[in-house]
Amino acid sequence: MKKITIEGKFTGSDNNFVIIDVFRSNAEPFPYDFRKSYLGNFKEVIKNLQDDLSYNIDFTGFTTGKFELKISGDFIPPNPITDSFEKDSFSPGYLINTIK
Amino acid sequence: MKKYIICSILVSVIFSASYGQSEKDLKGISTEANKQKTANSKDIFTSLYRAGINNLLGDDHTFSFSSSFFGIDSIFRKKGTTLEYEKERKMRQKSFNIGITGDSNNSITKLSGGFTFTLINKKDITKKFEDGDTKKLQNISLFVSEIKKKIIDYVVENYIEKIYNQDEYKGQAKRLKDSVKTVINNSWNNAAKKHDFSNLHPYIKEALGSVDLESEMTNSISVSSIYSQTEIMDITKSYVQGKDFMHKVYVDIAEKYARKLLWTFTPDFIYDRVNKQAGFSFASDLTFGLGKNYDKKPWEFEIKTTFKIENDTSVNKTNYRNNPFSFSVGINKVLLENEDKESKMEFKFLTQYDYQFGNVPVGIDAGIFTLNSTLRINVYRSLWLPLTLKYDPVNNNFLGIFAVTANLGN
Repeated sequence: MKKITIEGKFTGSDNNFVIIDVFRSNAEPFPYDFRKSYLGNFKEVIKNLQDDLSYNIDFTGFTTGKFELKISGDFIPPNPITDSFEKDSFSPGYLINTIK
Repeated sequence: MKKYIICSILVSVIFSASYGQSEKDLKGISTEANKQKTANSKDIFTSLYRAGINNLLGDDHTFSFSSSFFGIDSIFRKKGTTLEYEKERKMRQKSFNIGITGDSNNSITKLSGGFTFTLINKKDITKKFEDGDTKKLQNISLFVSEIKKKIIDYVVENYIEKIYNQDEYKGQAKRLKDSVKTVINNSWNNAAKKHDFSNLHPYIKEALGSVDLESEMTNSISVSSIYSQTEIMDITKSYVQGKDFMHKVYVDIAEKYARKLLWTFTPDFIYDRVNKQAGFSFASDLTFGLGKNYDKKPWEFEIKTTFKIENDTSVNKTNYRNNPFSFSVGINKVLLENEDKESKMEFKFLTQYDYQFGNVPVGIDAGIFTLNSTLRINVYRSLWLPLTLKYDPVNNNFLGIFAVTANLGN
């Protein structure tokens, strides 16, 4: 089993929200579905990912300040994945492939 | 005189341009803060910096500079450090102002300094939204989160698994499958960043228009508990048409707050270098937007009052007998704005009553009523050129005031 850590940091505002989705389609082997929402800073550790498989990690939400995300753990580079969004709605998705 | 005017404008343009180039480096400063606000309300209160030169064509010119405490703190703050939200918000609510007035010989005649305090600032979008607005944004976030998963499911089921499980791709299937998923992610990410979904990957377009996706969204318990079937279809359709529905919800809510009340109080200290005497000025500015149709360009209502305690220069000794009071009521209208609802041209009409509570020269009325209008044009980045025309209907006099202002970083 492989482990990844997803972190989110909000600054400069009271209006923050993000939904994180970690998933693999039901049409594929080893489907996976994790969803959780946050109103502020968070650190989520996911420990039950299969070896050498790809997973989609989506962030959907909004902030009237700044939102910075970081994905790190047992997956092939680019690692860590970082991105940030300011005073906007956002919905980026990233594909990671866990290491063997 | 012409040289002075041209130099003033050029300095302001360069200042504005150089700020624009370095603004990304100023960590912690939000360049998009309050972008839905009008230039009129930014002139009342800046959340970062504001520079201006007033009365360019008159004999006396005043250069003014305002900065919020947050703006100044951002310059000196150590790289990489961020402020606690509450501290940042409090620093944004106060600004200091300095002014230098020169005469036609370019001699400095007056110096001024003071503060602007926000008594009420409901335009601040960093303060907690009303529950209904937060809920609207959370709901649309859930919708988008769900539809993105359904799109990936659709593409995996109808293309990736069907194509790349064939024998001819054996050995490369995983790499090819992942590369298609990456292309799909990138297509969505680029569209979301630009708030323009018209150039989405054909697989995503197909998924969005498919009956399967529509029925899956309608049957999704989390989505159908928030939106009706018609709403689900309408929102999905807006993405098919290339529109960013979630961004529209966000911008509409930001616009709603941009139209709320702002009331400031500005006490200033003035030093008259020619007569070597101090003076005081007290100003109150109140503004709020009119109308609830956020698709229409906004109207803004404003009330301004100013009272000054200065020296009467006709008396050859220290005195405080020059006490002008000014009261104005007006309407400001955004004439042009860009796609993000940032104002680019505004027109203001106001009625003003000025009354002299101090010494009044013989033969001159203590009170004057004027009709004023100001046309503000955004010429470059944060640089605005406001042209004010004053009309005195009693004496049938026109007076033009030409100025240049730059609201930097907000």
